[in-house]
Amino acid sequence: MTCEDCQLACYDLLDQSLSAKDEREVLAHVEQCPACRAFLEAEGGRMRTWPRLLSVATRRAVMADDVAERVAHVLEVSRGRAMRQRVGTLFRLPSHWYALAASLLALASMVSAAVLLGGHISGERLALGAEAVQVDELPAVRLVSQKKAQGAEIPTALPGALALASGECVVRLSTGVELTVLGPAKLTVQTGMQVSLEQGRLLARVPHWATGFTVLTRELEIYDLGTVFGVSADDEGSETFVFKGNIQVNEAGEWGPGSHTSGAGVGICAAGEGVRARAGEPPVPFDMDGLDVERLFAPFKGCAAL
Amino acid sequence: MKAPRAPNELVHRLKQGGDEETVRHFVERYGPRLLAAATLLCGNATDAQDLMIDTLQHAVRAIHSFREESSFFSWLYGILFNLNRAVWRKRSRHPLLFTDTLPDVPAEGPAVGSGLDAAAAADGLAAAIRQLSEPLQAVVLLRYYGEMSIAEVAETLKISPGTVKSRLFSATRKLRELLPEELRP
Repeated sequence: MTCEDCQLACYDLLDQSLSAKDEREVLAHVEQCPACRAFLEAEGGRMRTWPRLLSVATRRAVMADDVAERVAHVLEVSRGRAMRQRVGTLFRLPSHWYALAASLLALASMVSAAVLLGGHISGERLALGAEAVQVDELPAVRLVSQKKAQGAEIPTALPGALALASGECVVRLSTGVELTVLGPAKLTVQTGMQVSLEQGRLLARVPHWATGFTVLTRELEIYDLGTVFGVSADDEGSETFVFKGNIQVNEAGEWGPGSHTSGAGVGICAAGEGVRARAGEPPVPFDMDGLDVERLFAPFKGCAAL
Repeated sequence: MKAPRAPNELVHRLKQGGDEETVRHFVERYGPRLLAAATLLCGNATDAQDLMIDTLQHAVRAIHSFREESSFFSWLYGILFNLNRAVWRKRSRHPLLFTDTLPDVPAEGPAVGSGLDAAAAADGLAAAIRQLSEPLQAVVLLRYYGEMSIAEVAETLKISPGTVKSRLFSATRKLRELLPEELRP
């Protein structure tokens, strides 16, 4: 047995997973080899002391308050998706089934018409069918927490306006995107994947499955590429800054009902980079040393490094 | 609702769809240990919290793929290390900005090591482990923090026991160079 074989076998020896024969062979080698004996003792020492040391190293780790809620949210999203898939499956039928379903529908219509004409069934009872197929939807925007928030308006349907006179509130969209909004702020939540910021500051935490989430300001279009990023907007212009991951920034494009023309690309920003756009001027990329990022984004929790 | 007693019961409930109470028990039971492992890997609170939450979220979404052949913790650790590997791959040229410092909490218990107190020794060891490459970090943490056998580490990381041993061997050799003398066993 070579020293290398012996030292690799020492791991199994300590795990007590060697056969009796192999154990005897390893112990015989260790007995007469100081290097392998030192290795075995060192590994034994690591197994005794490092678990405790590493536990001490994690002494300051504290779970956030909303972990369970964030995990439960994923289950809700999954359930919603599963429900949609089930509904989708129902409609993926072979063509002859469509023909049969159409015939039955036509027959049912004729029977209903005849019965209605006869006045035996009220319209109220017919309406029950539509109610029975209702599917529970996730709330469009859910208030997660607030701090000294005043004048908060949270939309109940989309698109909807979200306003905050002062303080801070954290909301979660149905896609799992979490927005921390600092008042005074005014934004429109268009969909779970798109928000228009008219005024104020927000920090977007975008889960990986919602990559592509977009924040629009008067001057910029900010496309998430899996990130945490901040956006601020006021009368003078708007600014975005990346804390983690990447974003694609374009100049504001034309948005119309059912159509969209993207503005000119400004570039991809990585962590520590951003773009500032003054009204009427072309957007300018910057890094964290360049502009007063601290003034705009330091109040957000977790951005103490700024 | 009564708290699920055994991990299997919890897994079963999650597989059935899992209500809020079940998710809360799941987070309370597995979150702290995953957060601790994530803290050792990431070194800062924000990233560790994100990694732990991502792991739990992945787990509840993929709960049906857990076949109950290995321990549930091993399965969760496997997810955590896979996600951490993805973060390593994506890591940009900029250092991470979320370096919010944690409040200092004195370490409990007697001093470990000859010249260092427990907290300094622990922080030194954790910092040295973070300097290893991701594959070496994974085996070191599972072996010495997760207190797993070679076979369990291999099962968790889906690699051969021989690879686990050679990675551990390389990792401990590198750590010997990185650690202060007081910490070398």
